[in-house]
Amino acid sequence: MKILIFLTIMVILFTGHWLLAEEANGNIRWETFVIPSVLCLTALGFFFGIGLAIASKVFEVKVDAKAAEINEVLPKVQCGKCGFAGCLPYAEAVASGKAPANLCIPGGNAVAKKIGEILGIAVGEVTAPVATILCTRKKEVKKNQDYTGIQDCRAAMTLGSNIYECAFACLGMGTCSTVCPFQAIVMDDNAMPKVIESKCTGCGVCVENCPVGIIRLTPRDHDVHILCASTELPKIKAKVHKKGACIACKKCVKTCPVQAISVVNNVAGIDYTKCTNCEQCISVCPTTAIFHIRPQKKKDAVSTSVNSGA
Amino acid sequence: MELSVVFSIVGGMVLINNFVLSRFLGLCPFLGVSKKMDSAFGMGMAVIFVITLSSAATWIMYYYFLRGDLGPVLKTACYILIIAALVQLIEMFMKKTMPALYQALGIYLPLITTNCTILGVAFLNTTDAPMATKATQESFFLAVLQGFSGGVGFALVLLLMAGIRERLETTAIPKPLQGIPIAFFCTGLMAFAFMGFIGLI
Repeated sequence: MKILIFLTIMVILFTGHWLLAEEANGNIRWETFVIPSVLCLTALGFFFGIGLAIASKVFEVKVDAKAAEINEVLPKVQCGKCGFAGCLPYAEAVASGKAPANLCIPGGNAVAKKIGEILGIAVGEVTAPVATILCTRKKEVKKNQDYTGIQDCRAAMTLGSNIYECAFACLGMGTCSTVCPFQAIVMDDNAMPKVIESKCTGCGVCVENCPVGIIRLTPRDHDVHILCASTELPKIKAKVHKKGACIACKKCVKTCPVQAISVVNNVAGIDYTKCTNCEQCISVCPTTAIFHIRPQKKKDAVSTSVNSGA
Repeated sequence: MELSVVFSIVGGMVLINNFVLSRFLGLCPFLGVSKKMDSAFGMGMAVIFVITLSSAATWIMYYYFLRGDLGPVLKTACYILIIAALVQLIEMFMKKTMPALYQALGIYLPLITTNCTILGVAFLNTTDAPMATKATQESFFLAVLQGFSGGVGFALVLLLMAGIRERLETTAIPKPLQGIPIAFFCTGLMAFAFMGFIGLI
């Protein structure tokens, strides 16, 4: 088939060629140039069109109809937050029942609902994580260098060390705030970033760009965090901070009723799959490193506990 | 075939008469895809791949069909047609037989279908213009080599530019120059630097 098409193209082109050779010395005329050119190109386009149509049948890749439909409703940003290589692999996994339908974070609940309609199943809420800055940087933490370069944390960290005495202190130059595609991080008066949760989509751009590595993505329904990421020795931490740093005393580990806290590399960490937000750890922490990140919710919690106490 | 011709083609296309810096072709993908290193790498590889195949296809077309009087009239249209059809065909073929390669290059392939570097090398292979090496008109190997080294030159400059622009992101740039303008400045300075290669051959 392909050979036939090729031969036809060749025949037509040679005919055009031959027609031209007849009047090579004449002026450019309608019948010597325009008509053969139009004929040649029409033929060429026609046969390429047919060739491609045939090729598209020959090289057709079978895609599951449902997977294709799901792929249509996905946002196609290929972010990989669902844990698959891209949107199409995720769509295939959902269509074949290997993955739940509520993993698409950029798409959110709207996309999850559409997928549910396509598959005819009930889909749970999409829970996008939220960025949490694991540093409180109290005023007592002093700068140990006079940095006057480009006001960007990434540029400052290329010089080798943190400009504060604590090696895991927030530099406060606002790189996370400038890179955030959703303007969800603002810098407050003390040059500390604050995450606006209603705007945060859990995209993780700030996490990638923070040169100190103190931003984590945490589940949205958990508001008890250990706001320290320093893996320095507790002795050094205690020297620099009076309050705010985790000194690995393990009081919270012993207090936690569900064993959700463990100390790794001199810093306590919460396993959010186990944590029940019971807040018992907050009261025992001697350095107030364990913290409610959400003042609003804290107020609510306090008011409910007051109510229940009354 | 003389070895000096091969060297002059490779050196000329990669460094001296670089597509971006000396011929000013392919500036749109050059500025569009040079923001990140990994996408620049993917784009560079895709350009090398397509430019090599398309210079082979267009050379065959030229050598057997377009050397007559109709040639100068039909060249442009024929080249565009053949390159577009070829890229479509490659895309389909890759999707079916090499899914991994398709994942890596797939999104860039339609982008470079009628990229001016691709068309540019097809013309360069078959033209009498003073900047071109005329040997490529008679030799299939040299034509493909010229296409390949043109692609390598494009990829090289694209990667250099991506490195520069990743650094530029953290620097303080006056507001009117942010983004594309400063990228053009850098391109101009790189073109100056590449002029130094002229004495190479």
